[in-house]
Amino acid sequence: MAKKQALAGVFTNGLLRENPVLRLVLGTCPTLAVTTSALNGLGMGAAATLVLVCSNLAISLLRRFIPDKVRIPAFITIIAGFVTIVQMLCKAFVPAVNDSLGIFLPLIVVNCIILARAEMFASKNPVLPSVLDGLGMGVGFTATLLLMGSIRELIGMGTIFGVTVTAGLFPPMLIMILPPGGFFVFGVLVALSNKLAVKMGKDPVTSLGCEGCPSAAFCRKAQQNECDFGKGGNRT
Amino acid sequence: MKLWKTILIPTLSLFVICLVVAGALAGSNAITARKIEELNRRNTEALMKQVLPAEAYEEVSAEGGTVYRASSGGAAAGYVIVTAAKGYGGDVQVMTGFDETGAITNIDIVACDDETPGLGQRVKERAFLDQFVGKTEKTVLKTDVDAITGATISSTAVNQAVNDARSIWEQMEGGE
Amino acid sequence: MKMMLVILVSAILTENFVLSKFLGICPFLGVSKKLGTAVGMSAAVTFVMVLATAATYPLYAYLLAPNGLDYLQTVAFILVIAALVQLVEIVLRKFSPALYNALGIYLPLITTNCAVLGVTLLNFTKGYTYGQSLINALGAGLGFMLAMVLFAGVRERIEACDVPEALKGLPITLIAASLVSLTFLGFSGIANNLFA
Repeated sequence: MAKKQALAGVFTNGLLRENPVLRLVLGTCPTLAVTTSALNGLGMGAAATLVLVCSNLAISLLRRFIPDKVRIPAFITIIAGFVTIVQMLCKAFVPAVNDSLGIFLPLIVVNCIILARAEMFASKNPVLPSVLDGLGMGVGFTATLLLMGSIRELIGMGTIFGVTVTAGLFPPMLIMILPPGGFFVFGVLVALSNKLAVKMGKDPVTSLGCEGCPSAAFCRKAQQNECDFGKGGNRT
Repeated sequence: MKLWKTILIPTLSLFVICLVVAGALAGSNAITARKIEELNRRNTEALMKQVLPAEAYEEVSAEGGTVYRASSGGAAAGYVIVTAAKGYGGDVQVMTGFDETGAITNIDIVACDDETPGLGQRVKERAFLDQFVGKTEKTVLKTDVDAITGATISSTAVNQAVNDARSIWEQMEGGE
Repeated sequence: MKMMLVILVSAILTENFVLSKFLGICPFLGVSKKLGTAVGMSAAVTFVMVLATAATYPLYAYLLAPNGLDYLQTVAFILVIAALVQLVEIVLRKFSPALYNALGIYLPLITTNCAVLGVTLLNFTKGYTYGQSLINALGAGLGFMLAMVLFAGVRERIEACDVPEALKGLPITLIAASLVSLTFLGFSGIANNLFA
């Protein structure tokens, strides 16, 4: 019973408490770039989730065999492999998603969420929790992207999933689906999530965290604790 | 012994991982490649049929774009020409159909994924594209065809691509 | 020549990697707190971008594509970039400790910087030649530097401001970035007309 609860905790962890986008501030590039519509956000989220679950599974299985020295290149190779497979699947079955995500589909390779979960969770945990962790993080990522995409599409074009919902209520503010709108909506969402976190007795996120950066282990700045990333790092 | 542990094992295991990944990719590529190709071919054909209805399309070599010679029942039916021009975010690819007299039968957008959604991507709207139908000369934006409000750059790209296609058509006709 | 100038200017201004393509956001938000670090980081990124392009372009154009191995593109590129970054770090540490201290410390962060992989992939989707790709990489790096330096200036001002509690830290940084990227919207179309 207790074990089941622990597993459920691993899954829900990524949804709220450690939401990769709003709490860990990882994967900001795709978060900002592809959320011009709800559908794009969902597509990106689904693709990243698929890669995350597969790579967590593979890395957890291989965790005893990969020598510590070459673990980062090994992880990157495995992740890149899964990303390419997902890219092929997208091209073959949902070409529209492939077209609208464009270069951000192969760039899932360098999405910090995936490498960070491999390094921080999958390489240290058994298979089942690793898969659940990947799934939870992926769903949290997807939900946030979907939320952001919906907000930007709603205000920017007056539609959600291409269906007009505001007809005549207000003129669409195109700026929301242009780059400045991405930064703005993300800023407001982080502010809201911070407000919520403080209410629930948690610390607000004030800057990017070193623990999220997969290169932290090699980063001299991080080791000397003097990089800007971790300053105000009030997460333990 | 130490050398074996510190250098050979990591190198070997990394090599094995690379090999396995490459093998897996080759496998999935073999499965999906044909389907992707088929899908692309079908899409292009469907688009060509819409731009210039004909029975067969044969690719001919040309500079500056992709040119298909269309024919119906053995008789030449005109050309379908795919050209690209720089838009707001990247290339805008346009397919233009010319009948035997050089009049534009129809045009369509092949790809404009780098254009801004809701702004530049509005060049896909028929109301804009239909303005080119029937034109027999190169067109000037804002005199011959109306640009889309707020998307002048993307509109210019479409106009440019269509005019480039006309240049290629003139070359093809002149060369024969 | 004109084409090269157009590519360079559009890579710096209109298609600015950070502000309009959203590539390399992590270092943009993370390392832009001080002007000095911003310059160091973006110089290292520019250097690696050009080097990575120089290495990956022939790899793809002459080895992968002709042999029908184009599906290995992502895997090969990321490995080349990772190896290159390691190599540069080793070379710098050995031969130029001063440069290493200035740039080298940022190198490990660059492997997973999506801007570097992004530029090498974009060169092919855009159909650039080898020369054009190198110029594009240089422009992308310089554009990254421009955005970082401008933004570092903005952030130094924000530090001194009294910001509402909920917006402190990351939120206000993002909203400021929104305004900076708004100004870059004004450059749209400039590159093509500048040299027309």
